Amino acid sequence: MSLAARAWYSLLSLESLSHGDTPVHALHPCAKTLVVLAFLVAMTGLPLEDLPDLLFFALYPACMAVWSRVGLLSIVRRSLVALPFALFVGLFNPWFDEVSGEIAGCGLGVSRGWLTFFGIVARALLAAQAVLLLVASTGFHSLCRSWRRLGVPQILADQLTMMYRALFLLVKEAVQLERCHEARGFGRPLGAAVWASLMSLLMRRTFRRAGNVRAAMLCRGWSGSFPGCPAGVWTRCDALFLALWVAVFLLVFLLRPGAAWLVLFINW
Amino acid sequence: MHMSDALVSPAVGGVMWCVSAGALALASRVADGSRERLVPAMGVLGAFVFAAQMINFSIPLTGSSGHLGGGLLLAVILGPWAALLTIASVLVVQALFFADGGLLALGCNIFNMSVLPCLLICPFVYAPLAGKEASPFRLGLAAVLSSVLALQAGAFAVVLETLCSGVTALPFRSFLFLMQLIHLPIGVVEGLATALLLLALRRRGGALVQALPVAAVREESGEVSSAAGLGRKLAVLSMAALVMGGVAAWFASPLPDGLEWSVSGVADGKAEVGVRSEWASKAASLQRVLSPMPGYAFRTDGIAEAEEPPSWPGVDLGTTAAGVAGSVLVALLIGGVALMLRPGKEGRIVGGERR
Repeated sequence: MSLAARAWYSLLSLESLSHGDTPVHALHPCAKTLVVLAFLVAMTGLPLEDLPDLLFFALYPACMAVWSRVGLLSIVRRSLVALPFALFVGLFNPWFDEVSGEIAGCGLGVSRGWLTFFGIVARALLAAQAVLLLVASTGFHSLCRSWRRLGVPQILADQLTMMYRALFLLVKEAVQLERCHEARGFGRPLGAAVWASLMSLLMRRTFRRAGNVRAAMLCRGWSGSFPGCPAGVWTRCDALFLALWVAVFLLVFLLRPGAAWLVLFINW
Repeated sequence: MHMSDALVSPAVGGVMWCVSAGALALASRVADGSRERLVPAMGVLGAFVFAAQMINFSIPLTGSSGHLGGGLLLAVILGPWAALLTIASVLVVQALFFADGGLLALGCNIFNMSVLPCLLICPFVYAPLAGKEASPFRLGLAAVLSSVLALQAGAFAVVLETLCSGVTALPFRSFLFLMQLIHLPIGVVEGLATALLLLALRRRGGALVQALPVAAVREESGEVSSAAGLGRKLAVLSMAALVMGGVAAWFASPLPDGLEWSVSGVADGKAEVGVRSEWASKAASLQRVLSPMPGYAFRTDGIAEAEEPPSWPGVDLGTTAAGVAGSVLVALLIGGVALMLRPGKEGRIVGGERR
């Protein structure tokens, strides 16, 4: 499947998942956004070699996937996109971090560089899964509306909404252009000249569409911003959800139960 | 170049979020006056850049492929402020839907891939090089050079952010060399892609661009002509600040300043007074944890370095990085505050008329 087709499929599938009817879907988008932010801050604040405490943080995406009935395996598969750059950065740690220790009892040596490498990889995956679950359980439009309450400027929120709508149209056109080239190209790779021609065509369609969209919106009374649709009412469940998870993250961050285990078994 | 959350610490992520949020707030204020014309164009062009990034073209003799970046293209078509918002939106969608870049690292990604190309490279490199009515060769050269510079600047910022977060054990020089080297051919390819599209846009006629509502907005507001003079002055001052912070700082005297000299005289040669309150100790610990670059140098957590006598000039990449980063942060902060404090729309003079 081409990149454009995969992007198209990904957009559609996440959008359809967000229409679920579970308690997680009913939560306020701001509450879920703030929990994800707290998750990211607490997790990235741990020392890199603290792998055991990451297991506690892994509970969050696992619980959210189960409660929102979003397939955890599909989320994990999508999160693999975050790996390449994290691997590139972390791969040099085993060679340049010369601190090493010994596992108590068996005398096996362990390099801190390898622990930090696995720590970087695990964090990249967990962070990506938390964000994907936020979108899968909320929906992009609800998120954009709720972010106005968190201080996002109106024009940026409107731009995100417009772009999201236009994405479905233009990515589909990009998929069609690619298919046309595959059908007529006899397996030849897409050269620069042909690419420029295809992009020029896509750009012309884009410009025409931009003009049509603006004219249609003006006819419907567009005055510069979308009417304020409420992002939902804040309830006690939302407050409880936010308070409980932030408390869990704070406790793991401050107490670090896994780090104590690490100190017990590894002599640096 | 999309950084994931695993590569930034909360301190660095938070700082870059503040910087990017300030830039976005500034861009929103500037673009707000033309919202009615800009938002449909921004939305659709943002989607175009996203869709165009999905289609790669093959690079002969290399076995690899390239794709359009989009920052420079949008800055040329929409103007730097609207382009900043548009690219930021693309990055948000990529982070949320495709896990391409983290949410905590979004501030870093917006700064590296939106603020630098749109606010720095396009007005100060592309615009003077391309000029008006440039020949295809000159336009192509401007696009390639600007793309290369934008990517090199972005890669440099990634290295600084990762190092300040203390994530990688790779030495600064090696990391910088690898990143700059990798992004050089990528910048050339992106520049060629941007040049091809800009030429196609011009060949199709200015009518295509003029049909876009934003072109009329930029002409009405007198944005282009008045910005050129101010832009030159800002460019000179910015370069001077960067040279002072990045290079001239090496020549700062290593001898203790007046306060340190006085304290050392009182405290028997020690640089600090020994007695400290509990709160002062807690505050100092907090500051050590939160500061991305304590002592205007890279963090060296857990690595004890031998005390060496200070040398002059003190050539140190950490000092350069601290000087450059500090200058940029201060400029953004002051610009943000100035914009917030300026008179409202009623008092603003635009294009010679009070609006």
